[in-house]
Amino acid sequence: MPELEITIRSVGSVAVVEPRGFVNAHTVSGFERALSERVDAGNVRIVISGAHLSYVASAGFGAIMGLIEDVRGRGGDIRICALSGPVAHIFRVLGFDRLCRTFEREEDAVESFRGS
Amino acid sequence: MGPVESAAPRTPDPLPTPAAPPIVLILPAACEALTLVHEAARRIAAGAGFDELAADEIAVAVNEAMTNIVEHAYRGEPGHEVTIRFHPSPGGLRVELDHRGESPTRLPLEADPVRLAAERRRGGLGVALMRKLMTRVEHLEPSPGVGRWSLDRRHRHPDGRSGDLR
Repeated sequence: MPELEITIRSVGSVAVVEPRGFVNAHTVSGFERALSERVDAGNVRIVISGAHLSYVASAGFGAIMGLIEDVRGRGGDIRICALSGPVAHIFRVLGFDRLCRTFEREEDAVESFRGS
Repeated sequence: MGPVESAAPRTPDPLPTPAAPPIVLILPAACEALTLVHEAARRIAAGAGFDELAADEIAVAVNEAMTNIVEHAYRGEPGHEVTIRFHPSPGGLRVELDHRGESPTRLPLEADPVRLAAERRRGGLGVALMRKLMTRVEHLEPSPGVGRWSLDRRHRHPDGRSGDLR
């Protein structure tokens, strides 16, 4: 199995980025590229689904951290959904719940962009 | 140079080094080795009696130390090695990662992702994450030219007292 596979879907005006595997310093470049390409293409409403992530190291969180204010400056946001237990735990330990809005369900994360 | 240690309000005593020989991995200092390091650390921590959550935390912390060595001590240069020693003991688990690269000058206590995001920073989380997941984190220079990350994780006391010092 590849260490990281990334699927990107459009749900209305929202890009749903779904990584499968794990994000660490080895795989982060692919994750970062997937996010940056969305932003460069003007898709600044981004939901990252963590449903199929086994773990995320600080490099992965750093990729979101380095991009999110540019995305917000362009009227969008990066929102997170469906984090598995271990990933959600590290997310909270790092204090990312103060930086990113999180949702249990993808539908709710996508819906949260309605009207924004 | 003395140990570089984060100045936590209360720094727990280090775990005693057990008499039993450690489990040793010698690996290339490369991001490609991170997957193996993570999985080995998780399994060794589980074998040392840590529950699933604690074993995952230890694996992430060891992964962060290895990443720090690859990216900062060796600045991504190929051809270097890292020696990792796992010391399980009745008190917990010590993990030591030795390198011959550049040592850190400071270990940040905390990382605020909101502030770092405002500064468009992508890094600055790793050491703080190690500190949050382990009981004690130090960077030592045990002999000339050798740098060592030393990470301790204590077992929780059965009655919930001071054994778990995180």
